[in-house]
Amino acid sequence: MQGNLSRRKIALYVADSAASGVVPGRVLAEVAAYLLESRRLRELPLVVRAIEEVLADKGVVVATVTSARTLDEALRTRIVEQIGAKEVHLREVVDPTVIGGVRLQTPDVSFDATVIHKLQALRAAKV
Amino acid sequence: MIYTLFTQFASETADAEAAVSPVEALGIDGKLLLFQLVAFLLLTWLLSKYVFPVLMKAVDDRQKRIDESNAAALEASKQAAETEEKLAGLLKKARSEAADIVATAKAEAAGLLATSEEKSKTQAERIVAQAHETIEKDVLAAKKTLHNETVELVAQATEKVVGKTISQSVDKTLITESLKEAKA
Repeated sequence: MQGNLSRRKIALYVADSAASGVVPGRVLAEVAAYLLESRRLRELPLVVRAIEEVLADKGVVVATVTSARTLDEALRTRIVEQIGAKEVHLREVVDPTVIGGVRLQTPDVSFDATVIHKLQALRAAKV
Repeated sequence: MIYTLFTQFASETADAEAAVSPVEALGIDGKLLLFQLVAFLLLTWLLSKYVFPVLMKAVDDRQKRIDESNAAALEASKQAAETEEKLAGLLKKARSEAADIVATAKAEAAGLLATSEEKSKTQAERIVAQAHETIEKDVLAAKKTLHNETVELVAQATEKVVGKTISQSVDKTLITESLKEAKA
Protein backbone atom coordinates (compact mmCIF):
# COMPACT_ATOMS: atom_id res chain seq x y z
CA MET A 1 0.00 0.00 0.00
CA GLN A 2 1.14 3.53 -0.67
CA GLY A 3 1.79 6.07 2.07
CA ASN A 4 -0.69 8.70 3.28
CA LEU A 5 -3.77 6.81 2.23
CA SER A 6 -7.02 8.24 3.46
CA ARG A 7 -9.10 6.32 5.95
CA ARG A 8 -11.81 5.99 3.35
CA LYS A 9 -9.43 4.32 0.91
CA ILE A 10 -8.15 1.96 3.57
CA ALA A 11 -11.73 1.06 4.46
CA LEU A 12 -12.62 0.44 0.80
CA TYR A 13 -9.55 -1.75 0.41
CA VAL A 14 -10.53 -3.84 3.42
CA ALA A 15 -14.16 -4.13 2.31
CA ASP A 16 -13.21 -5.08 -1.26
CA SER A 17 -10.70 -7.64 -0.02
CA ALA A 18 -13.28 -9.20 2.27
CA ALA A 19 -15.81 -9.28 -0.57
CA SER A 20 -13.30 -10.94 -2.88
CA GLY A 21 -12.71 -13.73 -0.41
CA VAL A 22 -9.35 -12.75 0.98
CA VAL A 23 -8.78 -13.96 4.49
CA PRO A 24 -9.83 -11.09 6.77
CA GLY A 25 -7.03 -11.69 9.21
CA ARG A 26 -4.44 -11.16 6.51
CA VAL A 27 -6.02 -7.91 5.30
CA LEU A 28 -6.30 -6.58 8.81
CA ALA A 29 -2.68 -7.47 9.44
CA GLU A 30 -1.71 -5.48 6.34
CA VAL A 31 -3.71 -2.50 7.56
CA ALA A 32 -2.19 -2.73 11.00
CA ALA A 33 1.29 -2.93 9.52
CA TYR A 34 0.58 0.05 7.30
CA LEU A 35 -0.70 2.16 10.18
CA LEU A 36 2.30 1.16 12.28
CA GLU A 37 4.74 2.01 9.53
CA SER A 38 3.09 5.33 8.72
CA ARG A 39 2.88 6.15 12.43
CA ARG A 40 -0.93 6.43 12.31
CA LEU A 41 -1.82 3.91 14.96
CA ARG A 42 -3.76 6.60 16.82
CA GLU A 43 -6.20 6.59 13.92
CA LEU A 44 -7.03 2.95 14.42
CA PRO A 45 -10.51 3.49 15.98
CA LEU A 46 -11.37 5.91 13.19
CA VAL A 47 -10.15 3.46 10.55
CA VAL A 48 -12.25 0.71 12.09
CA ARG A 49 -15.26 2.98 12.04
CA ALA A 50 -14.60 3.88 8.42
CA ILE A 51 -14.38 0.19 7.56
CA GLU A 52 -17.70 -0.42 9.30
CA GLU A 53 -19.31 2.45 7.39
CA VAL A 54 -18.09 1.07 4.06
CA LEU A 55 -19.26 -2.40 4.98
CA ALA A 56 -22.63 -0.97 6.00
CA ASP A 57 -22.93 0.61 2.57
CA LYS A 58 -22.38 -2.83 1.15
CA GLY A 59 -25.04 -4.36 3.39
CA VAL A 60 -22.73 -5.74 6.04
CA VAL A 61 -23.48 -4.10 9.38
CA VAL A 62 -21.36 -4.37 12.49
CA ALA A 63 -23.57 -3.44 15.43
CA THR A 64 -22.46 -2.83 18.99
CA VAL A 65 -25.04 -4.04 21.46
CA THR A 66 -24.65 -3.01 25.09
CA SER A 67 -26.76 -4.59 27.81
CA ALA A 68 -26.59 -5.30 31.51
CA ARG A 69 -26.78 -9.05 30.98
CA THR A 70 -25.78 -11.50 28.29
CA LEU A 71 -28.31 -11.63 25.46
CA ASP A 72 -29.99 -14.92 24.66
CA GLU A 73 -30.38 -16.21 21.15
CA ALA A 74 -33.93 -14.97 20.76
CA LEU A 75 -32.92 -11.43 21.58
CA ARG A 76 -29.95 -11.60 19.21
CA THR A 77 -32.25 -12.74 16.43
CA ARG A 78 -34.69 -9.99 17.27
CA ILE A 79 -31.93 -7.40 17.16
CA VAL A 80 -30.60 -8.70 13.85
CA GLU A 81 -34.09 -8.52 12.43
CA GLN A 82 -34.43 -5.06 13.84
CA ILE A 83 -31.30 -3.90 12.03
CA GLY A 84 -32.60 -5.45 8.81
CA ALA A 85 -29.31 -5.63 6.90
CA LYS A 86 -28.13 -8.34 4.50
CA GLU A 87 -25.47 -9.43 6.92
CA VAL A 88 -25.25 -8.42 10.58
CA HIS A 89 -22.39 -8.93 12.98
CA LEU A 90 -23.11 -8.22 16.62
CA ARG A 91 -20.42 -6.88 18.94
CA GLU A 92 -21.88 -7.60 22.33
CA VAL A 93 -20.84 -5.58 25.38
CA VAL A 94 -22.05 -6.50 28.87
CA ASP A 95 -22.09 -3.43 31.09
CA PRO A 96 -23.96 -3.76 34.42
CA THR A 97 -23.97 -0.03 34.90
CA VAL A 98 -26.69 0.33 32.27
CA ILE A 99 -28.95 -1.54 34.79
CA GLY A 100 -31.34 -2.81 32.11
CA GLY A 101 -32.47 -2.44 28.53
CA VAL A 102 -30.24 -2.30 25.49
CA ARG A 103 -28.08 0.18 23.59
CA LEU A 104 -27.66 -0.45 19.88
CA GLN A 105 -25.06 1.34 17.76
CA THR A 106 -24.50 0.90 14.04
CA PRO A 107 -22.68 3.19 11.62
CA ASP A 108 -26.04 4.62 10.60
CA VAL A 109 -28.23 4.28 13.67
CA SER A 110 -27.76 4.84 17.35
CA PHE A 111 -30.49 3.65 19.67
CA ASP A 112 -30.33 3.76 23.45
CA ALA A 113 -33.09 2.10 25.49
CA THR A 114 -31.13 1.43 28.63
CA VAL A 115 -32.45 2.22 32.08
CA ILE A 116 -29.43 4.36 32.87
CA HIS A 117 -30.09 6.43 29.75
CA LYS A 118 -33.67 7.01 30.83
CA LEU A 119 -32.53 8.01 34.27
CA GLN A 120 -30.00 10.38 32.74
CA ALA A 121 -32.79 11.84 30.59
CA LEU A 122 -34.83 12.30 33.75
CA ARG A 123 -31.94 14.11 35.43
CA ALA A 124 -31.48 16.24 32.35
CA ALA A 125 -35.08 17.36 32.67
CA LYS A 126 -34.18 19.38 35.74
CA VAL A 127 -35.16 23.02 35.51
CA MET B 1 -36.43 173.71 126.57
CA ILE B 2 -35.59 170.97 124.20
CA TYR B 3 -38.30 172.18 121.90
CA THR B 4 -36.79 175.61 121.89
CA LEU B 5 -33.38 174.25 120.94
CA PHE B 6 -34.75 172.28 117.92
CA THR B 7 -36.68 175.30 116.64
CA GLN B 8 -33.67 177.48 116.83
CA PHE B 9 -31.46 174.98 115.02
CA ALA B 10 -33.99 174.59 112.16
CA SER B 11 -34.26 178.29 111.77
CA GLU B 12 -30.54 178.77 111.40
CA THR B 13 -30.25 175.93 108.83
CA ALA B 14 -32.96 177.38 106.68
CA ASP B 15 -31.21 180.66 106.62
CA ALA B 16 -27.96 179.11 105.44
CA GLU B 17 -29.65 177.20 102.52
CA ALA B 18 -31.37 180.24 101.24
CA ALA B 19 -27.97 181.86 100.54
CA VAL B 20 -26.84 179.37 97.60
CA SER B 21 -28.36 178.62 94.06
CA PRO B 22 -30.88 175.85 93.66
CA VAL B 23 -28.47 173.68 91.57
CA GLU B 24 -25.79 174.13 94.11
CA ALA B 25 -28.29 173.56 96.75
CA LEU B 26 -28.91 170.14 95.17
CA GLY B 27 -25.14 169.43 95.30
CA ILE B 28 -24.70 169.29 91.45
CA ASP B 29 -21.46 170.48 89.89
CA GLY B 30 -22.26 172.14 86.54
CA LYS B 31 -18.88 171.67 85.00
CA LEU B 32 -18.74 168.10 86.02
CA LEU B 33 -22.19 167.58 84.67
CA LEU B 34 -21.19 169.03 81.32
CA PHE B 35 -18.10 166.92 81.20
CA GLN B 36 -20.06 163.82 81.98
CA LEU B 37 -22.60 164.68 79.30
CA VAL B 38 -19.89 165.10 76.67
CA ALA B 39 -18.28 161.86 77.75
CA PHE B 40 -21.60 160.10 77.60
CA LEU B 41 -22.30 161.36 74.09
CA LEU B 42 -18.82 160.44 72.97
CA LEU B 43 -19.21 156.98 74.41
CA THR B 44 -22.60 156.64 72.78
CA TRP B 45 -21.17 157.69 69.45
CA LEU B 46 -18.28 155.25 69.75
CA LEU B 47 -20.54 152.41 70.72
CA SER B 48 -22.98 153.17 67.91
CA LYS B 49 -20.09 153.41 65.45
CA TYR B 50 -17.99 150.40 66.34
CA VAL B 51 -19.67 148.14 68.87
CA PHE B 52 -23.40 148.18 68.17
CA PRO B 53 -23.06 147.24 64.47
CA VAL B 54 -20.98 144.19 65.39
CA LEU B 55 -23.37 143.23 68.11
CA MET B 56 -26.37 143.81 65.86
CA LYS B 57 -24.74 141.81 63.12
CA ALA B 58 -24.12 139.00 65.55
CA VAL B 59 -27.66 139.24 66.78
CA ASP B 60 -28.98 139.30 63.22
CA ASP B 61 -26.83 136.34 62.32
CA ARG B 62 -28.01 134.49 65.33
CA GLN B 63 -31.60 135.39 64.50
CA LYS B 64 -30.98 134.22 60.97
CA ARG B 65 -29.55 130.97 62.19
CA ILE B 66 -32.45 130.56 64.55
CA ASP B 67 -34.87 131.18 61.71
CA GLU B 68 -32.97 128.71 59.53
CA SER B 69 -32.98 126.24 62.36
CA ASN B 70 -36.68 126.73 62.81
CA ALA B 71 -37.22 126.30 59.08
CA ALA B 72 -35.00 123.23 59.11
CA ALA B 73 -36.86 121.90 62.14
CA LEU B 74 -40.12 122.57 60.40
CA GLU B 75 -38.81 120.87 57.25
CA ALA B 76 -37.48 118.01 59.32
CA SER B 77 -40.81 117.72 61.04
CA LYS B 78 -42.52 117.75 57.68
CA GLN B 79 -40.10 115.18 56.37
CA ALA B 80 -40.55 113.15 59.52
CA ALA B 81 -44.28 113.22 58.94
CA GLU B 82 -43.80 112.23 55.33
CA THR B 83 -41.34 109.55 56.37
CA GLU B 84 -43.77 108.31 58.96
CA GLU B 85 -46.47 108.26 56.33
CA LYS B 86 -44.16 106.45 53.94
CA LEU B 87 -43.13 104.12 56.72
CA ALA B 88 -46.76 103.40 57.46
CA GLY B 89 -47.31 102.71 53.78
CA LEU B 90 -44.22 100.53 53.66
CA LEU B 91 -45.32 98.71 56.77
CA LYS B 92 -48.73 98.16 55.27
CA LYS B 93 -47.17 96.96 52.05
CA ALA B 94 -44.71 94.82 53.96
CA ARG B 95 -47.53 93.32 56.00
CA SER B 96 -49.43 92.63 52.83
CA GLU B 97 -46.38 91.09 51.20
CA ALA B 98 -45.67 89.12 54.35
CA ALA B 99 -49.22 87.85 54.33
CA ASP B 100 -48.82 86.93 50.66
CA ILE B 101 -45.51 85.22 51.41
CA VAL B 102 -47.05 83.32 54.30
CA ALA B 103 -49.99 82.32 52.13
CA THR B 104 -47.64 81.27 49.32
CA ALA B 105 -45.44 79.42 51.78
CA LYS B 106 -48.47 77.62 53.18
CA ALA B 107 -49.63 76.74 49.70
CA GLU B 108 -46.16 75.53 48.74
CA ALA B 109 -45.86 73.61 51.98
CA ALA B 110 -49.19 72.00 51.29
CA GLY B 111 -48.05 71.22 47.76
CA LEU B 112 -44.76 69.82 49.01
CA LEU B 113 -46.59 67.77 51.58
CA ALA B 114 -48.91 66.41 48.94
CA THR B 115 -45.98 65.70 46.65
CA SER B 116 -44.08 64.03 49.47
CA GLU B 117 -47.08 61.95 50.35
CA GLU B 118 -47.48 60.97 46.71
CA LYS B 119 -43.80 60.10 46.44
CA SER B 120 -43.92 58.15 49.67
CA LYS B 121 -46.98 56.31 48.48
CA THR B 122 -45.35 55.54 45.13
CA GLN B 123 -42.16 54.43 46.81
CA ALA B 124 -44.05 52.27 49.24
CA GLU B 125 -45.98 50.68 46.39
CA ARG B 126 -42.74 50.12 44.50
CA ILE B 127 -41.13 48.54 47.56
CA VAL B 128 -44.15 46.31 48.04
CA ALA B 129 -44.09 45.36 44.35
CA GLN B 130 -40.38 44.57 44.59
CA ALA B 131 -40.98 42.55 47.71
CA HIS B 132 -43.72 40.62 45.92
CA GLU B 133 -41.46 40.09 42.95
CA THR B 134 -38.62 38.93 45.19
CA ILE B 135 -40.95 36.59 47.03
CA GLU B 136 -42.26 35.20 43.75
CA LYS B 137 -38.71 34.68 42.53
CA ASP B 138 -37.76 33.01 45.79
CA VAL B 139 -40.82 30.81 45.65
CA LEU B 140 -40.08 29.92 42.03
CA ALA B 141 -36.45 29.18 42.89
CA ALA B 142 -37.57 27.08 45.83
CA LYS B 143 -39.99 25.21 43.58
CA LYS B 144 -37.23 24.60 41.05
CA THR B 145 -34.88 23.43 43.76
CA LEU B 146 -37.56 21.17 45.19
CA HIS B 147 -38.37 19.84 41.72
CA ASN B 148 -34.71 19.17 40.93
CA GLU B 149 -34.05 17.55 44.26
CA THR B 150 -37.16 15.41 43.83
CA VAL B 151 -36.04 14.40 40.35
CA GLU B 152 -32.58 13.56 41.65
CA LEU B 153 -34.01 11.57 44.54
CA VAL B 154 -36.36 9.70 42.22
CA ALA B 155 -33.50 8.98 39.83
CA GLN B 156 -31.23 7.77 42.61
CA ALA B 157 -33.97 5.67 44.21
CA THR B 158 -34.99 4.22 40.86
CA GLU B 159 -31.38 3.43 39.99
CA LYS B 160 -30.83 1.61 43.26
CA VAL B 161 -34.17 -0.18 43.40
CA VAL B 162 -34.33 -1.14 39.75
CA GLY B 163 -30.68 -2.17 39.72
CA LYS B 164 -31.36 -4.64 42.51
CA THR B 165 -34.79 -5.87 41.47
CA ILE B 166 -34.58 -6.17 37.72
CA SER B 167 -34.28 -9.80 36.67
CA GLN B 168 -33.18 -11.52 33.49
CA SER B 169 -36.77 -12.02 32.33
CA VAL B 170 -37.74 -8.45 33.16
CA ASP B 171 -34.68 -7.20 31.31
CA LYS B 172 -35.57 -9.34 28.31
CA THR B 173 -39.11 -8.01 28.30
CA LEU B 174 -37.75 -4.50 28.58
CA ILE B 175 -35.41 -5.01 25.64
CA THR B 176 -38.18 -6.55 23.55
CA GLU B 177 -40.55 -3.71 24.26
CA SER B 178 -37.84 -1.19 23.48
CA LEU B 179 -37.09 -2.84 20.14
CA LYS B 180 -40.82 -2.83 19.33
CA GLU B 181 -41.08 0.84 20.13
CA ALA B 182 -38.00 1.61 18.07
CA LYS B 183 -39.38 -0.31 15.10
CA ALA B 184 -42.67 1.50 15.37
